[in-house]
Amino acid sequence: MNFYSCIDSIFSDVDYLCVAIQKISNSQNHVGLFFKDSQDQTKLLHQPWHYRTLLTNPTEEYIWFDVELDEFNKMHLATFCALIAEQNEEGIAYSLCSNGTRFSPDGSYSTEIMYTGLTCSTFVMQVFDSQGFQILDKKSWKNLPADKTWMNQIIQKVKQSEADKKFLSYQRKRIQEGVSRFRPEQVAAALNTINWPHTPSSIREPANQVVQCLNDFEQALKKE
Amino acid sequence: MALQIAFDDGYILNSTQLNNSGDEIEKTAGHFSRRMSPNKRLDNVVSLISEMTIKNHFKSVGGNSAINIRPVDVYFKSIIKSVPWLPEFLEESSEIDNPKLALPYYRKFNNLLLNNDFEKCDKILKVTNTDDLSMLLLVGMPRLFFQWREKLSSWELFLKGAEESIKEKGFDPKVLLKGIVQG
Repeated sequence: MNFYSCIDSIFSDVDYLCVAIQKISNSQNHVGLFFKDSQDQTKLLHQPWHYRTLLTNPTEEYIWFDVELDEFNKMHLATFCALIAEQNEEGIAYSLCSNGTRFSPDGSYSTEIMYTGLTCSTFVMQVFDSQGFQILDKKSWKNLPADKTWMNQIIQKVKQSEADKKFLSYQRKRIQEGVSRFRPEQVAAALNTINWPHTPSSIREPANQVVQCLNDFEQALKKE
Repeated sequence: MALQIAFDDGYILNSTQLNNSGDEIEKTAGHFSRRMSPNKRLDNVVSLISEMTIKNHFKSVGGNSAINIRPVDVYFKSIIKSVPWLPEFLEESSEIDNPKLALPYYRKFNNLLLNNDFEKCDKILKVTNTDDLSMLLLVGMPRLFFQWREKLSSWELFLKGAEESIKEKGFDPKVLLKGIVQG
């Protein structure tokens, strides 16, 4: 699996749209999209946290991968990314429950169900889904009990962001009922490989390779 | 039936002129140095005009002529009034091939959709000749509009036109429009 990083590439080389991923800790990564904006500048569009700005400049902590799409669709999605950034300046709720969420054709985020929102992974998935690309087969994702610990930790952090009490209690309720976790490395791997939509089994090995790329990048940085 | 053909530069040809004289068409054709629209578009014009003689005339003008017409109905003028950027869009649509050029028009489309101006959107899809669209717009417009397809009566025809135009440009519409058209 080929990846780009600040060691061997520059952000301006991004060809309209790439998927970018960053290692936060050994058990946590963060995913977003590098895209060329209307000024031909490479920007990062991502869901960083609860109601935070979605558009930032790319930083050197990220590695990035090609998105396995033709240039025309990548151009279209890059334009759509710019619309999303324009239409959602206040950011989006950070939630593990993404049911009923969507991006309208104008790029504005909306949800049919109160207190739902997006994680960094479901954000990227929703960007593609709203334009007709289903990259992961959500229905085939199981609700794993092991993910509940991670989810509860996330809720604690969201709480520190002064999230609404009702918002938090909805998150806890949904976690108890069972929520699927889509990992950043699964999303990055899916976009870099063909045969969408992927199932947990079809994306397992490519996702492991993404994690390996992150580890290789970390080692390479230490050597520099 | 009182109908008109609007040319790219705003020239309006009345159906009475069409009925009266094929010369008028030829004379008008001489003003434009563009390629001929495909026969399928001419067929569309002809079905609007309901004049088989005109159809024959257009076909005789055929591939060696140099006009580019857009078949529209009597509401075209009112569309231009309410969507003043439409002629400019139609003029530039073949050259919109990067996000910088596309973004202003994406915003304009979306403003219409946000204001529930589905009738205007529908008219835009109706008068847009997919053969004149850049590859970016051939994939971008169907993806932008497909969420609203149930409210756009011209959607099916537009999508079919986009598929054909993609194919004519040497690409596979099933790949480029994946998720929108049947694979």
